[in-house]
Amino acid sequence: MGPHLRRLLLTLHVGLSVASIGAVAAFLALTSAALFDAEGFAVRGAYPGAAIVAWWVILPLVVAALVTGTIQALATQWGLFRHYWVLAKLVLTALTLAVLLLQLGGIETARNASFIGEPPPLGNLPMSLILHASGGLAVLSIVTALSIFKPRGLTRYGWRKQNQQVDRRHR
Amino acid sequence: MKDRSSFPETPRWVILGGVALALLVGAAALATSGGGHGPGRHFQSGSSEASFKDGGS
Repeated sequence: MGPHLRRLLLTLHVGLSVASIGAVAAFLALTSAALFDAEGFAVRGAYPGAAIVAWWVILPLVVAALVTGTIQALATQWGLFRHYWVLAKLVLTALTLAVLLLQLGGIETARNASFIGEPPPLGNLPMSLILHASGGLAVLSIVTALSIFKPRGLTRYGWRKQNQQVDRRHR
Repeated sequence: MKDRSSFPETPRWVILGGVALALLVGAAALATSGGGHGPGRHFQSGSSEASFKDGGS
């Protein structure tokens, strides 16, 4: 991969990753507004809005960030399994996506309930959505921090690959 | 024969991060295995949508 294409892909990956943090923050704002609105006026708008943000913004952004990050890692010397920070990013992003997919059912339930009454009988679901969104925000922020700080540490596989490259250079 | 360095120690941040992640996953598993009190279990499947379609709004 040429340097221009690599930079373009990196820009795309960083943009998608940071945008996903913003989208989760918007989701958190909507679900919080719905929870703390005692009269239930905001609920009718907040949960359908949160569902749109989850389905049409957060989900595509997280998937795209995962795909571009994987391509970026495989196409450069960083590799996908050579450095702990790259591996940690992969695991955390995949975990975020898995939790998001599991939460989509609850988000749909809240959206449907918002059409019924005021306030909708959702039990623990509003707090669960806020907790999961807060967790997602924290994890995505950690992922961004890993990209910036790139903490040192080779995996066993990365160490083996590095030794193989040194051997090749000495031949 | 070239001198090969031994495999370096696993960095502390990896160990701490792994422990934190394991604790978090364990806590989440405990929280979600609490029976019928979890999120998304408050409605029969499709009941709220049916109410909406029936003119519930």
